[in-house]
Amino acid sequence: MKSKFFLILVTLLIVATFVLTASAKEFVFGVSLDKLYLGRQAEMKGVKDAAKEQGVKLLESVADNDVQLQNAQIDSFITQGVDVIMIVAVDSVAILSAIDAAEAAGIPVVTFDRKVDSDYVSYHSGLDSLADGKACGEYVKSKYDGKPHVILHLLGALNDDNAIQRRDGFESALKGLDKLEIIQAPTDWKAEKGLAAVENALVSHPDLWAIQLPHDGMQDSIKTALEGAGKLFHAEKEGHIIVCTIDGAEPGYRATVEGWTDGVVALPLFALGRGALEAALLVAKGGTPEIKDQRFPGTFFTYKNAKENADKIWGATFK
Amino acid sequence: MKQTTLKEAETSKDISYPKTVPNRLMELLSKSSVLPILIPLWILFAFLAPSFATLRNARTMLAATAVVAVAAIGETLVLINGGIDLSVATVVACSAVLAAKFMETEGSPFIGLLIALGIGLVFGIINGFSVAKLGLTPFVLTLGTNLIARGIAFSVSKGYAIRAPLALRQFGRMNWLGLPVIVVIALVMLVIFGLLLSKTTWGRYIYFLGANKEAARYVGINCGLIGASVYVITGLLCGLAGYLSVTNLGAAIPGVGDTILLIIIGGVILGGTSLFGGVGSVWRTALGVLLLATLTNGLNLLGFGFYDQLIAQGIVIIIGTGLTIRLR
Repeated sequence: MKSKFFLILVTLLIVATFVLTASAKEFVFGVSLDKLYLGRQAEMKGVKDAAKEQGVKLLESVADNDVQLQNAQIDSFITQGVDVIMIVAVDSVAILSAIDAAEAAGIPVVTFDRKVDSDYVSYHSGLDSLADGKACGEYVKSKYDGKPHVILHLLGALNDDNAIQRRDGFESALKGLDKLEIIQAPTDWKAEKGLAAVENALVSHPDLWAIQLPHDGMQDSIKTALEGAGKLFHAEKEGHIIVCTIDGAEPGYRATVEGWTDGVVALPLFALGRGALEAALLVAKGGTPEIKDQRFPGTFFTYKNAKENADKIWGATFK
Repeated sequence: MKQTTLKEAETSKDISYPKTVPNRLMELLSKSSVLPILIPLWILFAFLAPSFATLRNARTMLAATAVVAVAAIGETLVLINGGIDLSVATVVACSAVLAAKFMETEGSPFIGLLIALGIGLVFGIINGFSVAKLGLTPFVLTLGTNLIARGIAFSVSKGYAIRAPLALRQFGRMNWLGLPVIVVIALVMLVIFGLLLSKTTWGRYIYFLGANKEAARYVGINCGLIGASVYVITGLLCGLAGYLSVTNLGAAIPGVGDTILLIIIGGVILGGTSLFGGVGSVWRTALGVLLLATLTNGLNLLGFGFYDQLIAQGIVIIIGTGLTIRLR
């Protein structure tokens, strides 16, 4: 009887040791980023804060928009035997071969910001770019006076799902307003292309009514173009061109507070990054996220309320 | 007993100089600017990053290098010949995109390969004819073809990556003799062109032309034909590299050429090929490309940031190039 009790106790102790060891295991996640600009850094802040709280070690790599380099970096993560690979893809098609390699190695993959069409991806934490674009479109619609107007719609990179969704969301809000002419100009997310598009539009359409920006990284260059054309006015002044932007970085926040930009959709980048890390941890522990494609919509702030809501706009404080 | 130095033994006709393995190794090290950097780097990374010295990592590193290596063979030939080709990287991209575009609808990987080679051939002929027959400056000409190739790649693809057919993606994941298939293909190209350059009359003419074009003309070498052939071969190699790029990535990326030109030229120069012609070899280029790949791979494993890696690569290129000049 005593020996049986002793045997049970030893067994329980051994099992407890394994359980404790497993739960005390430090997880190592590989994080592969496309490029390191301020918005991505804000997302990574969310990832890092959550990783610190959860005791997860992160290995980071930045591909600087080089597809081959990103694939090689992910291969390095596989070689190092990370528990999960978190990816913001440079190109959502070219990344598939790297995801295939991760699948062959049995390493789960979680994506964030940029969606990848792969069944192997366990979870995606993304923006609700359709809603974000629509929020800007609704604001522009609220200013519509029934007269014919020209809108310059600057687009991001068309191989990026976020750019496509923002475009569709914005234009869906203006559907049916037949007197509005929308001119699309792809910019590849590049400020210099945005500047060139605005300058050209101001020459060919001196009565330009509104400009929709794909992100506020091009805010300063648009301001330059408007100043050069003598069209930079506060939102409440005569001659003002309606400007809306998406992101919530410092340039967009500043421009909105200054009043020459009507409004900015502040993206919940910290929450997006945190959500990705927490889902990755769940997957690493063998769990399955309830929602496989989680979307975080932004909030639209105008020049009237941006300053008092600075704490809700990530670019107001994040540097 | 008089000690014979390595230099004396090399220059003397003393056949008693022992060609032992250590002596051969010293000879090789003294001739290569890359090996004295590469070997210590391997040792250092193996020591600092446990996963560096693994078979899987070696395969990863070689696979990441294969496309650049094939294109760098072409650049080596051109530089030895006294020219330069700035269009190599974008011809890779253009070949990749057009081949993938065709395969997207028709599906045949073999026809896709012929298209990639054909595109490379066309650019090679344009470059070769323009330099050899029209006398255009290689730098300016190939800058122009670089832009044309890039424009075609982006125009056809509209900036999107084009997925490769399943058969080709599966082929790209195969291993031959324990190595990724694209690595084996790159090695075969290295062997072929290494032999062509060192063992054939054509190869000797390329060196001769690069070293002294006037002398080559005086002895009756058809400089135009040799010069043109080098660009044509380079074009074909870029076409092949483009196809390998699609095989490796599983997709054709129109912007793939934007990032690899400096790596190609850096690897060639680091390997010891002279910008002024007449000096270089395919094997040295392979070592130069391998050095850059080792650096990227090792620093990745050690967790170095991307921009820190750029600084490290720049320092290594400067040191390596300095060593190359001193050895000459």
